[in-house]
Amino acid sequence: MKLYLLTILLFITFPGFGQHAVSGLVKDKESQLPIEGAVIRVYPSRHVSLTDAQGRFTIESSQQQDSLSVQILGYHTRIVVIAPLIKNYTILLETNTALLEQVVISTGYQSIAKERVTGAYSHVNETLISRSVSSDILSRIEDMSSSLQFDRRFSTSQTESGSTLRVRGLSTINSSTTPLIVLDNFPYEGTLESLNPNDVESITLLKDASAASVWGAKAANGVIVITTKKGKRNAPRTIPFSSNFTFTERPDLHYNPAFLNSKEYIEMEKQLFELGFYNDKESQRNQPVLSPVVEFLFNQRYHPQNTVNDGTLENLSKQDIRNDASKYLYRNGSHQQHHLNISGGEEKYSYQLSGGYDNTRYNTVNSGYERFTLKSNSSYDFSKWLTLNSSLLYTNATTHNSNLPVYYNQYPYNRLVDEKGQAAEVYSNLNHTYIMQEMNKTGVDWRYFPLNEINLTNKGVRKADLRIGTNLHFNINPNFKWDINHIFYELNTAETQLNDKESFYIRNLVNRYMQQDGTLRFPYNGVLYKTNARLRTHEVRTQANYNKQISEKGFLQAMAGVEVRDISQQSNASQYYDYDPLVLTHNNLGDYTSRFQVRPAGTARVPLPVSSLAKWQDRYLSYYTNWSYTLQNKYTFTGNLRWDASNLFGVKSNQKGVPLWSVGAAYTLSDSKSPLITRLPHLKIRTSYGYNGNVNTQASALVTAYYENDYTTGLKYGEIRSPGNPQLRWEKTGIWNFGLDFSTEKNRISGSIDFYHKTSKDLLGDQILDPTNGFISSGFASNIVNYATMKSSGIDAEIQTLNLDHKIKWTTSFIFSTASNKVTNYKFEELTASGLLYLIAKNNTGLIVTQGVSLDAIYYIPWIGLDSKTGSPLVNNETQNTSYQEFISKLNLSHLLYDKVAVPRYFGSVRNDWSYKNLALSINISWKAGYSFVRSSANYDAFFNNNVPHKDFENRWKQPGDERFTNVPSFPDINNTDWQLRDLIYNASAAVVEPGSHIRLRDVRLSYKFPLKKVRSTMEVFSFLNNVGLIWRANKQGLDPDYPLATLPPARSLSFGIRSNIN
Amino acid sequence: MTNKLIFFLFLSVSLSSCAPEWLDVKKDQKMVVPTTNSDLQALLDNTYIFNFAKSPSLGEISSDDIKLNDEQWLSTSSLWQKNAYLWESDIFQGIPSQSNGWDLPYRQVFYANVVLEGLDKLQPTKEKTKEWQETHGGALFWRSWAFYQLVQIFSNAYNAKTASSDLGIPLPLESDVNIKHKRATLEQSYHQIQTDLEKAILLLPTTVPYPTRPSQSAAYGLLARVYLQKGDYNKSYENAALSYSLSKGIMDFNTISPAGTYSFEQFNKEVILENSMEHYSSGILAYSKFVAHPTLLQSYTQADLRKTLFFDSSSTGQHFKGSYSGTLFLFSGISSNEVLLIKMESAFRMGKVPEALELYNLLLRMRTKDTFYVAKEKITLDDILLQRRLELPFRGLRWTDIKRLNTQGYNIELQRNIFDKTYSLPSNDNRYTLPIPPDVIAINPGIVQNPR
Repeated sequence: MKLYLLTILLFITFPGFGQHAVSGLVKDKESQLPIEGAVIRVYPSRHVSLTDAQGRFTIESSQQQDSLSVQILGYHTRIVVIAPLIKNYTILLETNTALLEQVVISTGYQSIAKERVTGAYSHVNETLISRSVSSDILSRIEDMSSSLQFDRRFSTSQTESGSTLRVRGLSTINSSTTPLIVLDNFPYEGTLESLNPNDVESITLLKDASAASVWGAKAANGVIVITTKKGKRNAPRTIPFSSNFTFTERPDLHYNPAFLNSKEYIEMEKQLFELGFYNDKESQRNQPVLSPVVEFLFNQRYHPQNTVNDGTLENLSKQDIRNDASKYLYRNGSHQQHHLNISGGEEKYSYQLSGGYDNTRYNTVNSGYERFTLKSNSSYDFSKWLTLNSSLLYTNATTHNSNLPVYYNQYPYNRLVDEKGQAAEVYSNLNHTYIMQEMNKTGVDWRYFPLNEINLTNKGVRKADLRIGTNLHFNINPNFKWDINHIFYELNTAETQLNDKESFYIRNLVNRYMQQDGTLRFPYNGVLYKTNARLRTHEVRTQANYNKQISEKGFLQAMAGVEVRDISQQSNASQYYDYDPLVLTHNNLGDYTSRFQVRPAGTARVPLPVSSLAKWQDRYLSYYTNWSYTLQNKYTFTGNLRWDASNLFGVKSNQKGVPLWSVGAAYTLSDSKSPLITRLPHLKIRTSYGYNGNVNTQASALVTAYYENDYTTGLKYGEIRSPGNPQLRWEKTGIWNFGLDFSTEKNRISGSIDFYHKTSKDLLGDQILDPTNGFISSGFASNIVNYATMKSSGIDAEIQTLNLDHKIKWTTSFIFSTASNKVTNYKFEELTASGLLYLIAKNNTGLIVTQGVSLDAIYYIPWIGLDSKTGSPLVNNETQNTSYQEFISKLNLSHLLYDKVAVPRYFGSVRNDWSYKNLALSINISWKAGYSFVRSSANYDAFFNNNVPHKDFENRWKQPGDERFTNVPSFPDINNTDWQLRDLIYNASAAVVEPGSHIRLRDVRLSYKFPLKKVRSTMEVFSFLNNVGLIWRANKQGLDPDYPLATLPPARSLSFGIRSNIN
Repeated sequence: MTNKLIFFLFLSVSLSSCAPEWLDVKKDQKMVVPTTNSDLQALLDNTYIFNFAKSPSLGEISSDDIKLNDEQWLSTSSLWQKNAYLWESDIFQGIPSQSNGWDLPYRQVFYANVVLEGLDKLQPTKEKTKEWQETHGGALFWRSWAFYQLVQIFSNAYNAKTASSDLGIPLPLESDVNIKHKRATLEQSYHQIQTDLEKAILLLPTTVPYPTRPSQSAAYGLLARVYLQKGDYNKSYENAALSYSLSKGIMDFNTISPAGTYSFEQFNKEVILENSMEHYSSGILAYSKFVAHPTLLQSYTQADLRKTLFFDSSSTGQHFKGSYSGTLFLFSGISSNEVLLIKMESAFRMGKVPEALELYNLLLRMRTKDTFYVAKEKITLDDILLQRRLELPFRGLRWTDIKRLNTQGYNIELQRNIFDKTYSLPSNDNRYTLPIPPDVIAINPGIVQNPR
């Protein structure tokens, strides 16, 4: 057996007698950079080979009269005659601008020339990545690639937090929707903010089964493959440098719809006061806060002799906190970015070293971000058959921010600064009269001065990423290569929050816990909070690659490998009381079990200082293989098989694994009979089918419990987190893809169109349980089981046109995508139908899943109008009924509408690039259509009880006849038991659903290239205007439909920069 | 070169051969499949499931312990509480996620069942026997406790004549969450509670580190409650006596200061089992909201220490501050004063009048200002019932007592007045049995709704 195996290996290893190997190097004539993926053919034998990343190739030549053709898209094909004695050739190719750009698709496991792929990919090259300015990489590919969608429905601020990324819509209901991020061939566990975009060479999106199933159980949400810059062999040293400055404007606080001007606000307070709404609050023992206006009104009531109109209310009604907030809490932001890269290589080695520095000043005061990045990459040939590649990536980023007071949930007539220019006091938390009276007893100031807080609480997060990659590449023979890889990644996150002794947080606790005899139960000193988290990944992969011209016409490319991954995470958090930052002393000794009298009322324990430890470990084991066979350079067939297993908690070993596969085929119609001439037009048809998987690490097959210590009894206690699910499996998504790649003569029009249809099955779905069975977790009795199915489909298109190609060059890129989904099996039980109303009323932020309906559907009730007599919303057209309790009790899904979706069904962008001599202009316009959003509006309940105002209150129904102009309900009759339900009805109705379609001018870029005499040197200056604004929107509320919940629109910014490469 | 290949093949094979063990590592270090005795005991030690603010409050809200004025009623945030206060026939009005009165006890049942099944799989070794028994007894106790709470709210008062046809509650005895349960009869429900408690008594320890864990005394106490409901006074006397004898006795209120926000400490001497009622910050039972019913307040004499220890006063009325939980959560557990009162009432009803009198005077002495205390020489059942009323307000017991006494012909009729409208609940009205939350019935139509 062993002997037999050896014989086969020997046969493969040594080529047949009479042949000899020719090797060489293919380079760009102009830049002298090596060219990867060029197709080398020997005539007449038609042996084929490819150049590697260093531009090198080796090919068998049988006879001495052979010739060699070197062909690659984007270059003129060259033919070289093989001289009898020369075995080493350096071939220089000239660029052919008329041809398609040469693209090598990187899947993370292998690089494939675009001609040979059967799957759906999107490729974003360095030119596009460096077109925009930002500190992170993701924002640079937005609107640059089809099928990529940023869902910002729940994003409430200007930062990207709350936004999620989708590649080709959705394929899961309850599991993660995040695409897999692959950095330099290995999954990246860190945060993408740590990555310097200047280090990135290209980004490839793997979209269908043929492309992504190589990533198996993690691929269902699509894969984003990021490849960084590397040094190249036999390439001269280059030193690209870039530097830019960005200015971000101070935000416009008047945009915020959840704000009510002082005058109206005071009117509402007066009205509530008359109705006795505050009487209960005033007499409560726990002393809830009363606004300055309400306090004034009480004063007036109790001391009628003082009712002389002293103008207090008039003065207050003229104040607007937004003026102070804009002045003292916000500012113009800025960002600077600098990056230097050195790379080059000789025959036996290549190197790359880069460093970057970013510094951001956010447009909120006292907050910023700073990042240093360092990257190196080197490759060294120990011998003909062994190459060592090593890489290092190090990032150190710090974010600091302060406790920025929120201006919009305060009283609109508050001031942050008083007449003397000092920080002003603001009523918050507790009754002001009570506070003044108690702080006299305690001697500790209990008032709240928002502006002072900015400097009294400091938060900082420091992240340090380190990634070390080692690769041993064995070049066993021209056809057969073997790689062993190891990746070590560590992310250390340290978070610190210091509450100064004088911060309100401390003073409040001190006052609250100070005993009648003056004993301090909470130390009057700083509090320091620290968390440390460490994420560490080890991954080992061994992979064999085999490329061979099997017959005269067939070319086989195959690879197979095994990989193991271990991700461990540890975190700890601790809080230090009585902390003195000057001498670093602290004292956590205290009585945390006794209950003490607290102000204003009741007893409480002193909160135990936070102290927690956690540890997680994820392990994966995978086997995979990928085959591709190309016949006559025309037909390509691909197949892929992968098996994954993990330590998903509680699952028996035999249930852990999941095999996933894909097959694909492509046919190039235009390939000529003669390989020496590339004819246009070009047309290629691709199709593929296969499965990708998705992991849900939250589900469990057995009853599992989570353990903590009880701080009352000190005993260990357990909480049941899962009632168990013995049939637990991984989710699977089957994808059909049909695609076309095309280009017309001279590349006037080129591009690709893909149609896809995905069916996801074995999706984890909630199975609603009878509460009588007693498993209730976070308020709901449900268990998560694999049974749900959904489907989604869409179109991705990317088309480039060359409109003018003279002195003025004009190109346009069109990106167009559609994506829609539908749940095909979900056991929805009617019981929560009226509970739906609550979910809906929360701006559809809860996930409602209904069979036959899109997961992105907006659920709402029809809007009939306001009652002409009372201004209350009508719930029945015929009877003019306003009986809400009855309506809600009878409500079920059939009364709801769900024909609209909250995520665009159609979206895309149009980018125009003009260049004239050295001047270039680029404008990117994006658009979204076929969706709606739910806006916030007047909610009396939220306003009266939680102080959430809204500008819509100004337009409320005031008198009969108003119902013709407004949908905003009238001031409620708070003595009626169901006035809160009224708000629920209105805010869940069609009256607050707005069309989302819009066109946005995303950015404008203007650049100038200096004509430099020195060869291969370039220098470019540019300006970049980002987030310019909406050109058109379908809604009439003046809202940005991409950020329906945001209080601020995205800030506009202007950058200036320079990019050079002087050698 | 072939050596190299063999080496690579060997490497690949060895990487994969370690698979099964390598993948068996725990994902989250804090996550455990509960299998050991200590894991199972920890489930029962979850005070957030069993003890703190986890017993149903529907009965208390419906009872005549409290009286709200219009403003207090109006500012109550939840509709079901407002409706329950007025004894509306449909208190939930279709609004879900408000059914804690049902969910919370059944969650305790689920935990208890998980523990009981886990214990079944453990073979108690000699060393572990004691712990195994304690955990087993604890699980049986908690299951009975939850069933008892549910019966008080969702079933009629026990009546021996009708109990085998009256609707009881569903009795899940296993942890499988996919079973659809039906309501057992009231007789079956009480039988389950009794037999579980009898088993638990044999297993539970006499002393526990904290009264958050059930002790033998707690099990006797609960059994005494059960027999008092059933009118089996011999047994209620017997169990109450055993419970009291294992307790630390009662406190002398003369030694307690009324100055504090709350008069009693958590885990005080009288607490046999710590438990408190579900709590909502702007619900009816929020501290600043509800006030004691004037009729109740007037029943305390000036010499009665409970008047100042149980109540304080503000402009809106007199608030209850006498929770044995020492917090704003209303104590609803078992305490020695309650078992003393059960023993007293049972003794009297059994004809052991001198013993009842002795117990009565013991309680009276501890609750009356020293200078005013005069021992009674003769008592009636009404005297004992009044002491019960004065001693145990705001514990969720009153609702059960009204139901029980009305079946004995006491004819207690409740009245409310909100916004000039009078609401009344006549003796033995259907509405003494509260409706089962509609979402439960929606998902399990096999559960029969109570007539209202």
